[in-house]
Amino acid sequence: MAKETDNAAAKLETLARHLRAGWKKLYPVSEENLKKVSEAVQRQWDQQQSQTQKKSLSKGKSKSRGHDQAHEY
Amino acid sequence: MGQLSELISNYRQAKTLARRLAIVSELICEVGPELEAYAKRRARTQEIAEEVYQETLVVIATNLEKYKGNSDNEFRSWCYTIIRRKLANYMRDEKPDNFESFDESNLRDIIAAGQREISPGVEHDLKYALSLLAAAKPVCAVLLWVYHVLGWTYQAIAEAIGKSYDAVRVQLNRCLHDAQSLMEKSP
Repeated sequence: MAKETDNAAAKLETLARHLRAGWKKLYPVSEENLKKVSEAVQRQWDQQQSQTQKKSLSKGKSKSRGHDQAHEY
Repeated sequence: MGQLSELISNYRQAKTLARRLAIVSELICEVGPELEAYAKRRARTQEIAEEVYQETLVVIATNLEKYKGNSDNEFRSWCYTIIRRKLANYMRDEKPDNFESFDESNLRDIIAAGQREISPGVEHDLKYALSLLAAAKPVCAVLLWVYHVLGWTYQAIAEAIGKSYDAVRVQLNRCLHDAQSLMEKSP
């Protein structure tokens, strides 16, 4: 019985593959939507880069502050 | 490793913006069409469908770093969960409907759009699968559809219909078995 249900599941998955191919032809992602997605990813990237820069700057500052403090002793 | 999982793995290793954009575009082109089809089937109006679909693509693209799954179906489930929640937000006043009606001729048209010529062996399998969905009880047809065709995981289905993971797993096995029995009775 398990073999039969496996067989039926495999046929449903064949249906899935063919439907996906059909949806791709019927609803290709538009240039406009791809542009919106790219812009959002770019904004996120820019934010991440500036945060990373800020972090490394503040790390640098605290290191040099520590260095200065060490010199006081 | 599936195609989507491979793309996600490459995304995780991407060191430049250009590489990240290329992978995101490829991922969106893979899952976008089925998400648009889903939104169009489920939303009250085409405007809502379009808006929800666009928002979903942006959410997927900008949250890839948080995504922790490892298989294609986990990724599909994650995408469908995002679009399902967005649709629910847009249609808060309406009673959520878990059921989809399956119009065989509509599904045939979609298949034909993807591939004009289908070998007899594949045609036999497709006919069997469509008959199986038609023979299943409505609740079972939806479960078989979302699990085997849309690729949702047990967990995603459990969350969508408010049942436990185990209940979904057991019900799906039973549904497949019952649908086969119903098909044999009325082929």
